[in-house]
Amino acid sequence: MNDDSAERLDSFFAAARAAKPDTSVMEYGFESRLMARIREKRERNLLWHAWVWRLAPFFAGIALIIGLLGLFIPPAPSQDLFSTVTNGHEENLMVSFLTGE
Amino acid sequence: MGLSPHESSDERLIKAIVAGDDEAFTQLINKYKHKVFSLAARFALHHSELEDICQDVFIKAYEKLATFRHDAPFEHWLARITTHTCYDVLRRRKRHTHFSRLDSTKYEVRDQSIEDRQAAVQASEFIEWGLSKLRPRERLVISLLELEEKSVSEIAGLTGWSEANVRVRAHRARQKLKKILEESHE
Repeated sequence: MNDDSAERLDSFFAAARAAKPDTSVMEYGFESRLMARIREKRERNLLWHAWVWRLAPFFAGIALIIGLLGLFIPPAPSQDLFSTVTNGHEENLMVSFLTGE
Repeated sequence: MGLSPHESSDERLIKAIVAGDDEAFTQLINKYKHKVFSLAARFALHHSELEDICQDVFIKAYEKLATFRHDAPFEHWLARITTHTCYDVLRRRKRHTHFSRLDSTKYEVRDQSIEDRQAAVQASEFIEWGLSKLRPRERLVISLLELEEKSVSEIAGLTGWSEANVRVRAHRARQKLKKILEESHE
């Protein structure tokens, strides 16, 4: 039975090999359809790049404003108790160290 | 572009494509589309899936063409991309999906009588039905081995699996198909 089914399977494979799907209809005009898709993809990428370049000055402006604000506006005093207590102490330590006291 | 006369036509085309020549790519598609379609048709369920697979293969080739090293023929490289794309499609497809052959497919049966032709188409449909019950990796291996008549080492090259692995998967696939065949005739 096993040999019989193996033989039958081989004959099915041989027949299936002989019956190749005919794809000629689908192949017709394939390169045009593919090139259209590639062009569309390329244009989409170009559009994305164009927008990135167009928005670059805007984001550069925002970065500049944030930088200037950081320079001219002093930081808000900390509400943290530990830093308030140790702030003067650290300064004193630094002065002592630098003056060699 | 400074092309040497020893360069193959594929090499010339590839250099032109990388330099931005779309016409050269059209020529390359024309040259290899039949091979890609023939292989992909073994795995596609319907015409739109076949078209998608073939388009994906050529788009991948187009995007990776700059990385193509000319140490192997372009045809082998493209066959590898086709095999991987087909395998991805098989993996994405749910197992045991309702079987349907390429819709309204015409078969190219050469030099045979009408009865032989009918038998070939029926056998092809039976094999297709049996293959749809296999795991993607088994289906891929057995299709390449038995239908495309590739050798074990060729399949190993196409899939990236070891030859031992290919042999084991082909053996398992054959056993399963035999079982399916026996059950269908009980």
